[in-house]
Amino acid sequence: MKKQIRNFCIIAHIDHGKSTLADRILEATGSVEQREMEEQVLDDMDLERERGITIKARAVSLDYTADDGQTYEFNLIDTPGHVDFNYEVSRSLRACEGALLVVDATQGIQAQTLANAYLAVDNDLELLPVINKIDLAAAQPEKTRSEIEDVIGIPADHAPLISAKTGLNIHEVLEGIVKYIPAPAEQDETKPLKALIFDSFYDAYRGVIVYFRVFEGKLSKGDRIRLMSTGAQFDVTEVGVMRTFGLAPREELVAGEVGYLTASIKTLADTRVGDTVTLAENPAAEPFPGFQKALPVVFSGIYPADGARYNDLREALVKLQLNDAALSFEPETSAALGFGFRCGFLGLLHMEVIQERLEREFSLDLITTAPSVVYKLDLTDGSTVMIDNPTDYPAAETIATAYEPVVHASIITPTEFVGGIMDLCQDRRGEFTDMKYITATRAELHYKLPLNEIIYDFFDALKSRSKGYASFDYSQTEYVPSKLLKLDILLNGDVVDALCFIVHADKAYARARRIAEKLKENIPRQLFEIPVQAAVGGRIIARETVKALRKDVLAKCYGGDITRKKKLLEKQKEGKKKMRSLGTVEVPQEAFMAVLKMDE
Amino acid sequence: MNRLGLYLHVPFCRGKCRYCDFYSLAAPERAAAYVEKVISFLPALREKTGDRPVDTVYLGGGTPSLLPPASLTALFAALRERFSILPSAEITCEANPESLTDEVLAAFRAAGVNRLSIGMQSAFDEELFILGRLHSAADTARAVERAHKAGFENVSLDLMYALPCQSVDRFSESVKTALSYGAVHISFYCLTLSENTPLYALRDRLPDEETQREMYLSAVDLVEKAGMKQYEISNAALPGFASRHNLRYWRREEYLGVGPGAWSYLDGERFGMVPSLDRFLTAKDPFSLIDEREEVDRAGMIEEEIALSLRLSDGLSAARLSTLAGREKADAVLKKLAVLSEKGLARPTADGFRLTPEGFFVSNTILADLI
Repeated sequence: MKKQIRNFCIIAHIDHGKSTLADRILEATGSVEQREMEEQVLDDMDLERERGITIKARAVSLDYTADDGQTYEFNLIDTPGHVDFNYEVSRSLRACEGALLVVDATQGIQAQTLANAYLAVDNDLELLPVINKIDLAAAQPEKTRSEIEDVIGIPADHAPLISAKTGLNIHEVLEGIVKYIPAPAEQDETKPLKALIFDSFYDAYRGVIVYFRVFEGKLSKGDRIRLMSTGAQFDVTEVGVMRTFGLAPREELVAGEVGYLTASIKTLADTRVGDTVTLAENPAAEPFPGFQKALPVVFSGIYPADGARYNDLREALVKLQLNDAALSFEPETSAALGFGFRCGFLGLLHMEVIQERLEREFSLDLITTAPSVVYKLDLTDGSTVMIDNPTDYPAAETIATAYEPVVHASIITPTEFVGGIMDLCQDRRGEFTDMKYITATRAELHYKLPLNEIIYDFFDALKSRSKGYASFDYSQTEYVPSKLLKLDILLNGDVVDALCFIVHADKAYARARRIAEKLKENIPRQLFEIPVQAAVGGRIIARETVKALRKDVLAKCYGGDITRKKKLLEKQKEGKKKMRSLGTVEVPQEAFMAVLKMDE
Repeated sequence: MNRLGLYLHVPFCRGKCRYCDFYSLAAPERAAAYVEKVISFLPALREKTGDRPVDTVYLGGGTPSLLPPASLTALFAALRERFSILPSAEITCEANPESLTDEVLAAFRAAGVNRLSIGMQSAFDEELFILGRLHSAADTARAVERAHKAGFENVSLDLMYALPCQSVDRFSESVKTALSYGAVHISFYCLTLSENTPLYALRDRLPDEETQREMYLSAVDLVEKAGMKQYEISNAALPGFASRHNLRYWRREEYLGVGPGAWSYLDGERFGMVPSLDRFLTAKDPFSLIDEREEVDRAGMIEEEIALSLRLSDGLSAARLSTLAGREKADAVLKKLAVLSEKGLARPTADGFRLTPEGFFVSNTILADLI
């Protein structure tokens, strides 16, 4: 008899309770003893737990004995919940037949609920809505139910009303999975192996561990596999399934199942997510369609605060890339910051996550340059260049037309904040597309927004204008012609490459003034007065002055204690080392950071 | 043979000033026991210093003028017995105006003290009150007069600036007053507020840094117009009256410090005694009191040569630095000083550079860059 299998994932807007529900499912299937369970087992990175988001997909196999008496193999595949990781989400979705769509009954449908639901529908998944947090006083389960039906357009009459936090009605969810999520369509073990990689990560002892879903055929320990996009071949040393306590080896995995393999694979670059695994001897005719390499859309220079740690930074990036094929980096040199790396990210969150991991897990002190999007420039000589580093931006007279990337943004907000959000979008050069009412009190706004207007602080601004209620999602669409200028920042008369920006002509003055002010606030007084200037094409458009230091003296030396005096000077010297010398100006790390946070 | 300076820290005060975080106790009754203890340590100390002739002696505090005259006499007799104090030695006692009585002055004279450093601090009673000093402005005038009458020509007055609520004019007035008293040496110390002092409560009332700088520069200006030379960041004197003991510190010359919290520099080592009178009074061996020490290696000497010589108006000698640090390091330092000269923070001298008064006032930043 064929195994009863249910492959599913959980999708939700951030903080709607996805990870908590996953924990309850693990508990309820006896996969985790409650007392042993740490909160949110699937999110195993510290950072994820702290930020309440899931960055890397994880998967786990569970056994569930249903009310019908049969035992089902549940494969729960966790997915990232953020737009930056859409590609990761989509490949995780493709390994499933269905998805639990978790909606917070106090908040209703939010931007990422919609984005994820559409993505799931695009991948032909069966959606089972789950209405969460019904234990809260503010919960409106029936209103949420009708929102799901009206806005997403799927039936929700069978949606379990649950509280993942208290464990209420989790049983209904489990039975719902059995009942509404389809079994794998095909479970033919006789065909040539065809399996989809939906995640992989690097283990220092075993090499790359590949997570995959078998669609056709079977894979056994000892098989020689071929990865269809690269042609690379490996001997499988282990296959098995993921349990909450770790990896559980098996002899083979068959069509319909989800599991892992190891094959002494040295680098993640060989195991691209979305690639197809087949057997070298008896290959599948065709790979799965739609394989693509995720392309970075936001770039930033990352430098060690202490130049001597360049090699440590490189090693850290190499290690992170082992588990994050979407991260790109290449060496970059800045006159101001020395040796560092130009890094490419899928989006803002991805960038922040990488920066935090570098600092936290590798104890690196970083200086990060302002994030930049990729601009497209038609030059007067007829060529086209893509510019991801403001330093490389050519002189204005050589540019025929400049293009900037524009995204389609969807913002869901209580109607009372619509006015403020419209102002914000307008201020960010947004182009209004449309607006519709989800309910009488909630609206969904669509705008075209230049990506470079949202990479700094748009999300924070949106939250503050909506008292935290508005949600936001975007997808990148097109390049549109734009009036762009390169804003140079000069300290003591010298251009500081690491501080230059690309800015829209209409924003140049305001931004120039703000940067100059920020720098003035963050550069400590030094022996001489330091002019801080912002210039466009050699013309100064903003100026501030860091006044000269007036007093720094040790007046007296008590009791002949020269040692104390020396210690003070040495401490001062250490502090100085932490600053960057730009010509005769010492610039602390915070100054580079401060210009990134313009609205604080 | 190297000459030696002797420093005795007398850790007693009648009361604790509101800005003081140095080691001193309001327990003058223990002064006699303290002096006895110092005397008992002298043989061991002498063994450590050897035959070095002593050419400066400095009793600092605390308040040395609180020592009972008999103790003072015994102390100096013992010092002269154990150490070869040169006839030309500069022998300084610090004193507070209110305790500098005729009796004390006579005892100082008899003991061979030839220099007085009087803690005037300010010419204004309200400033003295803020500082928690026990004397009035008039007390200072009388104390200086008594000192002169007792035969002390070499009288230094200490002033403080950057006091809460103080104006530039007020401070200038204090400097002028000190000069009018006939001081041959003036020290002007910038108030440093420590968190654990009562005066810290007034930290918001301090003059801003620009004002403090003005106070400093105007003091330098006033004393120089009066014929003094600013020979160190916080010290100025008429020709021939610079404190030789004070200069020892900045010239990396040797000195032996005795008393709680006193430091020494001997045989290439700096060491400090634990700041505890109880420990001091119960110790059998003075060297058991040393709780901090630092071997000054070549790198340390170079650092000190730069950081200490630039506190002086004689400045840094290129030749001395070059001998000590080698040509390359010396050149790098001189190059930076040349840049500072262009900006008015340093000035070339016959054989190197010195800092200007403007440079002195930001000298920590300058020195941290040079060392």
